[in-house]
Amino acid sequence: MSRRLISIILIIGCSLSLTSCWSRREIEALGFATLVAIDAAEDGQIELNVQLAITAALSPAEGGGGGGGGGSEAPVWTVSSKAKNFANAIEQVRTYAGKYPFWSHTRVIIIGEELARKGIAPILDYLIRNRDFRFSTKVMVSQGSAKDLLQVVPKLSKLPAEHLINLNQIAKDTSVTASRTLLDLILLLLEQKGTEAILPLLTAEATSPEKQASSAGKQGQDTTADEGQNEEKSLAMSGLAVFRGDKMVGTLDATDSRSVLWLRGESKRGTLMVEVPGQGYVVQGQIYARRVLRLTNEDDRLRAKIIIYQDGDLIEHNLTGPKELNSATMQQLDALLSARIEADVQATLKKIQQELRADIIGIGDRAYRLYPKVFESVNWEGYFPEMPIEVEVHAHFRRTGELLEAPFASIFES
Amino acid sequence: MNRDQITSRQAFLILASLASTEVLRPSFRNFMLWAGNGGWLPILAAVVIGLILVGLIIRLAQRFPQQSIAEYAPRVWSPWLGYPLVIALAVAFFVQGTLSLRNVTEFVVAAILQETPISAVILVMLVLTASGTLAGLEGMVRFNELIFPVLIGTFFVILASTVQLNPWYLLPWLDQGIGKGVWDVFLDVVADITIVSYLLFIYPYLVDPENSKKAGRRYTLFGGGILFGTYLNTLLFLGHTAGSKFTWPYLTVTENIRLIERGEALFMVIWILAAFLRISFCFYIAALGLSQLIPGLKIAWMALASLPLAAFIALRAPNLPTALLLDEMVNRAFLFVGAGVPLFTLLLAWLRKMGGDSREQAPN
Repeated sequence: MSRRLISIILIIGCSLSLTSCWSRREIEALGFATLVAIDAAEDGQIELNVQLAITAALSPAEGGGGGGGGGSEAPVWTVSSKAKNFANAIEQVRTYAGKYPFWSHTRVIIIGEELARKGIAPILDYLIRNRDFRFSTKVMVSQGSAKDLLQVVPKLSKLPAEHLINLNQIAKDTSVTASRTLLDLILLLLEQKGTEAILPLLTAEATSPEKQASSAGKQGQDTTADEGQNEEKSLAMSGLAVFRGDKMVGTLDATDSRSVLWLRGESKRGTLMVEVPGQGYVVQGQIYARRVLRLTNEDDRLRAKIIIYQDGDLIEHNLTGPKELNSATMQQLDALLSARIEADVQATLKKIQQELRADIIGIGDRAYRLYPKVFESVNWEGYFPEMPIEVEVHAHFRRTGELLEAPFASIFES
Repeated sequence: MNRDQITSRQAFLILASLASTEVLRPSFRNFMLWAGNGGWLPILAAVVIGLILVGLIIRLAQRFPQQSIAEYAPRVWSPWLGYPLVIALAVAFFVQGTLSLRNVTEFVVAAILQETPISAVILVMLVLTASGTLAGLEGMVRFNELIFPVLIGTFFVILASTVQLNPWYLLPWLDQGIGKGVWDVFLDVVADITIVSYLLFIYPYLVDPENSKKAGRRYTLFGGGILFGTYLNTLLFLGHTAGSKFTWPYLTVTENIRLIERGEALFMVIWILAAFLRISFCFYIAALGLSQLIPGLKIAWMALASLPLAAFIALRAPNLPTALLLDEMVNRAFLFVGAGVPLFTLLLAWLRKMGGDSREQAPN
């Protein structure tokens, strides 16, 4: 009897306590945040811009046949707020939007340059502590204000966040910049001892070369608001933002970024032009690259040697000398290619060590893992800029595409 | 006494499940905090030492294959000392259960039900736990047999999906020194493994006690392997500094696996099931131990009566850091009670030539 009674009590107890979620939120009450842009504002405040997806406009019926192209306006609504801290800024966004922002769909977080230079640790605390933000969210830094970049409407993607993800992926594949998620950033800042963070750098550039040239010429001049608005711009990945600790200390352009990726062993693809003195140029399409980092300790003095192995195909040339790309020619080209890469890497290393003084290569972490006592005994921030780093490059052209001989060389020569 | 009969395999399979719930304890992060660079070494040493200790207890317990520790401890130590020691062991299981309850509830509230008061979740968990305890030993081992393959499957899925493991974290340095790097980790890990002393209460229920040594060796190794595997996976993914910053480092690992998107939601459900089993089992063993000491006490009633006390203890810590501190303290105390009482009881029995082939073997 007692067992049956207890069972009945338990069933009633479970039925009463497990009825449903009393703290439920219906989907209509949620605003799906796709992109977050954070800037520094006046009086030490932060300015938060959140792009909420207009879900009705994303459906094929509303979108006019379901095409993937964007129109003059993206199907997002940007809500802005300013506050002393991230939590309050989000609270305000909620007030303006009339919806609970749902952060799990946030694909990209853009940090404005000014805020990045002041330090990103305070905003990262909220992003990590809050379970709604996904660690796979991409983090980028904007050149200038992050908010301004949100004005640029992508042409080929409906959502700006999707466009940025695609841009970043392609820029990463072509070794123009790196790709960093929230988790990568956290692990870099917390776990990689002595190693500084790099984040992809995002800019808005004029779409045509003429406009790029004219906008470059206008630098330092006043432009009217109309001119600014009419100028057609697109978003682009232009290199890397370099950090020391949680503060941004400088930028690296696309060429330097490629060298950094070689030095870090993150380089994937990309094209590289090599000048052949007196004969023209050859272009290599990189297929493969890796690096080996060797660290030696001589009387508590650490020395680093970075060996870069790089392979690729010859994808274009205008050489006037050799008719046929034979073994000897390829060896000469390999030597020129290696020298070119080494020159690029040395120039970037000099910039990293002397100008930026930030170990973005990861030598510090390797030193900590291999020689923890030596690492602890030196101030790595001061040691790295003076540290001897040797670079060795083994680069090769492997294939020449579907041509061994330049088909038009004899015609042009005649 | 209601004597459900279970096999040695079923009895030890519980251990592997209990070890897996370690990942839900916030103190899991302490392993990384304490161990520092090269932290996998002390944990490996602790797992090995823990396994040896457990192996020794199981081997010595073979001397009393038909009896519970509650039956032979008073004879080994004399009733004046034997009874309090058995009560201490039973109470240790009860407190372990309540703190596991608090830990799991903290996990559920933080990860799933942020706005729900923790007391509400604890009460719901207690109602569920009560049903587990009332199901008895047979019910619990059958439930464990059902969830065990799923539980092990999740660990393999996570291991296979964690792609960014950093082998440089495996260098053999101990930058936190012996004190923090080995001793603290040792205490925590060994305490987790020596929870196997529950077995000494359920020996009379084993249909094949002679197989317990073989099954014990296999599944204790399995439990230790799960513990070491989850720790290593977390360490190689997050590293010791970053890993020690998260409340539930293994949850962070599951949030970042590649094979399944949002896989952590699935794993949470499975772990909560395993944790529910751990809590039920601890409460059951505590009630069983006391009922073996005091004839006439019914396990079911005792288990039910202890639930309000469990809720009271579980809600004592006002916040997570305090709960964490309490958990650490109790876990260490459990090492000395959970491993110490059975080990010294059995060693004394061996010295006094009790049990085994002697006349003491015959049940009273």
